[in-house]
Amino acid sequence: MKVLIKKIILLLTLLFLPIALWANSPIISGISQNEINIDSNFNGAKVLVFGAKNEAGDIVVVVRGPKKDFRISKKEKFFGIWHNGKQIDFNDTYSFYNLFATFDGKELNKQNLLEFEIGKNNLQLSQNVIFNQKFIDLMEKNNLYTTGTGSIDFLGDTLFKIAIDFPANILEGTYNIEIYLIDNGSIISFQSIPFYVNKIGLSADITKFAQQQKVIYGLLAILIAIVSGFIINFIFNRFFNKYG
Amino acid sequence: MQIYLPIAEISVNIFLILALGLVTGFLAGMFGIGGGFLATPCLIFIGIPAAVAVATSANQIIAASVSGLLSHFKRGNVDIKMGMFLVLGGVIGSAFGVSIFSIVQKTGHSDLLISFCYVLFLGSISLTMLSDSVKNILNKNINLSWHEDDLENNNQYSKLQNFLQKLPYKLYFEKSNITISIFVPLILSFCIGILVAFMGIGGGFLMIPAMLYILKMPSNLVVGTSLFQIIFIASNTTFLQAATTSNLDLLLAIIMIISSAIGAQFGGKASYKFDPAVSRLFLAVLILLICIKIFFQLLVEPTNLYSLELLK
Repeated sequence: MKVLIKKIILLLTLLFLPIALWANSPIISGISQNEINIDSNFNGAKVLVFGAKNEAGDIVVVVRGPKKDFRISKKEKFFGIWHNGKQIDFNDTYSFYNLFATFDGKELNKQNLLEFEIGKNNLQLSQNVIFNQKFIDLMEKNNLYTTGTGSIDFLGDTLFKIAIDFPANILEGTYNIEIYLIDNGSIISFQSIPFYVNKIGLSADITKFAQQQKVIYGLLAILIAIVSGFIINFIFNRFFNKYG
Repeated sequence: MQIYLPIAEISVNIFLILALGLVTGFLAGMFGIGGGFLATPCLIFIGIPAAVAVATSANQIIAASVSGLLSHFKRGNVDIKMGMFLVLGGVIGSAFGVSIFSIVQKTGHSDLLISFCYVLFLGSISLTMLSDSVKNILNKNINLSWHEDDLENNNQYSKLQNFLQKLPYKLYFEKSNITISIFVPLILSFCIGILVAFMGIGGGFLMIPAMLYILKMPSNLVVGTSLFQIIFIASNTTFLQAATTSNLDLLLAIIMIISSAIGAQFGGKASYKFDPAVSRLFLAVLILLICIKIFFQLLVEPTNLYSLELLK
């Protein structure tokens, strides 16, 4: 009997938990898909984030890609010749960074959000301000960074929707979609949704092959090239070459 | 039609790649050069990471060269004996070059070294070939009487030839009908191998003039023999790239392999339609144009001073 009561209580708790959360949580949100599969036809993807906010404040959505190492080189003039001069490495830096917010960029800079790296000026890059700016510019040019404030569509006061554009040159790995409710610079609520970018099919097979069986992969590549050369030469001699 | 390349991690237009392969293959069949000096920068321009472009075009050069070689082989225009010596020197030279290159790379000035090598060698070679082939064509067509080759009269050149003739371990190369010390092709291909490693290409455009002017091989054998040795050099590069860097994109390579092997067939046919002097003139102009482009790149302020690179 006691066991039954416990079970009923547990069941009731589970049933009402979402409602309880809805009532208590200042924001609640979800995404249209939790993975992107890269196959041979892949040419970018669009992911929708939707949610509702139950308290006053600004919605900020940050999408971060897996951390990678980058290098910025600057061309410099030396005795009239342009060559690669100063180089700065950006280690453990987000390979993808998209920012959406309901307030404008200027206001965002004022916020004390350095710790969470929210906003262009709060990204932890290198010590060199100029190179940092160039890094962001080049990543924006490759459609991998948007550090302005992308648009958030509102339906009424509470429901919101965001479309994230993932370009064709995104890297494989775990991404994070973070949804913040911010009021007067302090974070009222925070939700993080992991998101996976995977290679599948032929793309996955080739990548795995190239990385795990390097020697066989190299030999196969050479073999394919030589055999193709022979086959195409044969076809040409057989069907097209009338002059000998 | 877009296709996603798994190692380059980018989506590209398949027809653009096919066209590039055709042109590269055509050059291989026509002139006996791998075409890497054209394919690599074009791939980078399309948006393929530089490291992937270098590794993949090496693989593609094999197919173009095999396809081109077979059409020359059928006519008996390949000196295999000479080719073997060139392969031996070239493989040792490129291995040596790779180690020098990695030292230079640490100083951060490898790009400058590459550009200087290009300008110096492309410039001097193209100008020599240009003047030589123009004279040749004029001699034939207008029947001018100044038949003596300027090169033969050039004091330093004849000194060099005299010196080469004095070297020991002479060997007779039946096909080319020349007798020369085995050190000449070995040292020559060793030096070219070093440069090939620096510049990340097959080195055909260096090998062709060297065969003509230093080894004094008959011009009908030069293209086939060059292709023969490029196959080995490019296979070596492909293998080293695959085994050490994992930068070879097999999907990109296959698209380029097929198109360049087809291109090489057309190139091989075209090479028999033209007078060797005329086709040498084309090659000289082509090399000179690339040389001028690189020269201006060094001198003119680039539009984008900053460049971004993903470190693996």
